[in-house]
Amino acid sequence: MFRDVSFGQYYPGSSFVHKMDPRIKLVLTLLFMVGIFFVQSFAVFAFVTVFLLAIIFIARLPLRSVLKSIKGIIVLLVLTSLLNIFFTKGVEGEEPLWAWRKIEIYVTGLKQAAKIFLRLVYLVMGSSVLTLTTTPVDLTHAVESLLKPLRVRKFPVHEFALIMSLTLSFIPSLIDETDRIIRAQKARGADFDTGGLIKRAKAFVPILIPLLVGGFRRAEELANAMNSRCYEGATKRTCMRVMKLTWRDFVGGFVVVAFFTGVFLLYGMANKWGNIIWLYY
Amino acid sequence: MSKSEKVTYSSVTVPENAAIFAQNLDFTYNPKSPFAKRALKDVTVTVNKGEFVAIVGHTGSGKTTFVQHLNALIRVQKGYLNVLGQDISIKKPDLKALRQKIGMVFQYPEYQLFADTVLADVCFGLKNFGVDKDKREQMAKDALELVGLEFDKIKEKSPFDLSGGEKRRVALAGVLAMKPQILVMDEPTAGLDPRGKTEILTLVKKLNRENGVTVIMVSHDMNEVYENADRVLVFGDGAIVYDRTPRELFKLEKEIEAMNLEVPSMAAFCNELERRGFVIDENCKTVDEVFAAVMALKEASDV
Amino acid sequence: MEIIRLDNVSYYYKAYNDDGTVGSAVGVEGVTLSIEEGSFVALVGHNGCGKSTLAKLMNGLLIPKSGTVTVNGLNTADRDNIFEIRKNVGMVFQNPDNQMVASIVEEDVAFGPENLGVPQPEIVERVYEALEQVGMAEYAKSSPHRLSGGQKQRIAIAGALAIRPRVLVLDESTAMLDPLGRREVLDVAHKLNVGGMTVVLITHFMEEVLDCDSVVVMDNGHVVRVGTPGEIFEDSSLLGNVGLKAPRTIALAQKLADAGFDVPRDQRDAGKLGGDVCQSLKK
Repeated sequence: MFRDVSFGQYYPGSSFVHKMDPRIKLVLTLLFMVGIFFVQSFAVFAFVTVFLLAIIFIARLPLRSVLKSIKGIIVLLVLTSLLNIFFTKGVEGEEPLWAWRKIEIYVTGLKQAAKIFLRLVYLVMGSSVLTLTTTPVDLTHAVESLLKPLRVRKFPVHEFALIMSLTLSFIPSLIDETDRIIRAQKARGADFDTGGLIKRAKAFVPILIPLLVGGFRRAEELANAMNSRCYEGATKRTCMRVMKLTWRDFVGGFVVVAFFTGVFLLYGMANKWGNIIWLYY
Repeated sequence: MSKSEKVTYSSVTVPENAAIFAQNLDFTYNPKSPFAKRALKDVTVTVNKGEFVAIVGHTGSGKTTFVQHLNALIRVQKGYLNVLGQDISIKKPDLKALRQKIGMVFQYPEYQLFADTVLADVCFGLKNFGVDKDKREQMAKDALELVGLEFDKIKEKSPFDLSGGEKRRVALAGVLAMKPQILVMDEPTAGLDPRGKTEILTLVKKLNRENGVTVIMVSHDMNEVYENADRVLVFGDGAIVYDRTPRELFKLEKEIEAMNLEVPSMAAFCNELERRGFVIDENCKTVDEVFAAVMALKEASDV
Repeated sequence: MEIIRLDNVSYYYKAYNDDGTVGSAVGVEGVTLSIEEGSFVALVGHNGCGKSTLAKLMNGLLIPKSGTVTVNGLNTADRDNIFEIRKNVGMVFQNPDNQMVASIVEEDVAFGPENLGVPQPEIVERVYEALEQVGMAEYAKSSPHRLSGGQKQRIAIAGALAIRPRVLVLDESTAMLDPLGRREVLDVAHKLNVGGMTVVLITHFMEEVLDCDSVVVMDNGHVVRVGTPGEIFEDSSLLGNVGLKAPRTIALAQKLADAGFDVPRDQRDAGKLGGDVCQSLKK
């Protein structure tokens, strides 16, 4: 059943992380994503792992729900890993671990692949902590609020946020409608599962056209409803939701910033004093 | 499904006159997940050929799930289902053969129109079911005329340029063109004005009475159910709670109201008369029929 | 006092003729109508008779091609008045799914006051007051798509109420609902009307007009009759002509009264009608 698929991946809860201001969470997530690229050694990766697991624990998210997000990038993971394993040349003087004709595999390549693999996995896990603990609506507000400074540059921040919000509110009924049209056409003998590529593509016309027509009908009614409720664009508009920073945001923000300051410092140290072995490997 | 259950059903004999024969149908959405929801609970029912059966019940009562089993839009999870002699609880039933025999009209069917002409839209099903090209036009013509539209006037028009009532009839013609033996309809009159409603119901009744089409109609309008159906299935919480003739069903005023359904006006009127010792014939259901029956009672008492 | 006035109003839609040339189709034509503040008016007619066009003329969603529409003395044709007019006339449409602008109930209801630039603390106040009025306060934080049709429509009404209008126009807002949902919406409309709200109800369910102060019957873009529900239901030839029908119980009561039974012609309770008939039969 289509309609049972909850959109977004919000995992309801009332943990410390859930209660943090979505803006702070968004900024911290961005910091996390950047920070991951400054992790150079497996030792530091171990720290990051503990840190990430701690956050997941504090957010009271089942580890499985966070890991599930990796599914979406499996192809990317395999591909980048293979590329790194096969195409990384060893450091000077390094003997290949294994060689066959022109293909050579070095330990350096394996390490490189492992690091990139970890980075991508943590990147996705980190961002899914954000989406699992923040409703799409909150995220929309956070984006709008953070983009506000762009308004002076004529960037249509409000319209952008409104489109996001309308999209979110229309997704469930759009899914329902798609579901209904597919069933109706199946009942009329439509076949979406057999035949060649062109035949299959053609089979979608009887779904797409009613959806499109329905979309215009919806848009018209929505426009009327919005106009009736005095919509006039962003001018003089106010907002019901106030986002307030609480102690949680300061504590959470401090911890994450402190951690990554450490990561950045280690990165700097590693570059300066290359002889600190554990920072490198 | 376990093997033992299959064995049990292989010995079931389907009555010859059965259009639909369901034994212990059970269905759960998202089984084995935290969102699991049991939508059908051990439903056993037989619908005879030529019957006009209404299905009523609230959202979530299981009526939609049941109806979608009938043409295998939802596959049998547990239990046995036979439609017009075809066992559709098996793993790979012949869907085309099935869906050609059982026409399904969804809520607001006009929202599934897609072709650039009325003719092409009505022919969509025929084409899918492999009807010869030269036969299609004649069959589409029959169907369009059946729903009361003038073929030559309408065939080249875009379905999107028609009025709401016309669109609905074109959509209906698209299902009827396949000459189904069973017609399943989900609220066929929703959103129509009184005239449009009467038109659709008259048509459906004609198909049932004259062409012998078995009709299954899901409806929220108890007056409509009362006046048209031979038999009513009341769904509640995934099971069939009542299976009676409309007259017998709506005698249960308290039970009907407790289920948040309405008692049709003419049923309420006749019930009151019966409570006070006057008998109104079971077949008098419309305002005119009930009025005539009351006049007959009056004449009898005047004598 | 008159709150909405239509003077000889006509509106035409662009339409394509059979030969592909652009012509026009009548929306409404020559309509003159006055709606009293605090009244409950039903606008009835078959689909396509112009009743929804008339509704959209009442808050400036459509501007008449000829004639004038005034709301509280303000002409809808004057662009400067539009904001003020829409503040006075709240409107709810047919499909509840197509009116939701947010995926959380309270944020959807807040949309109107936010547009008006109401200060934040007052928005919260208005939102909760409106949700309270439609009996949906406990769903403030819910997601609308999980609610029933009747509940969604009540949210849409709350969205209109948060603007604090004087008139509420329900443009076929019950057409897609089941009987239970229709009951919910009508109960809310009548409750609001008791509290002083002017209500314009557009419908083709004749059972819904029983409790209205007046009924406006439309056909082919024209107002063909204005009267009380009782007067309208008595005029069976009019109803037949415009494709409408009196509710079954009332139709039966009228027939029985005509045949000499001692029953009220406007009896709407079928059980009571049955009881009265029995009394009559036993005599």
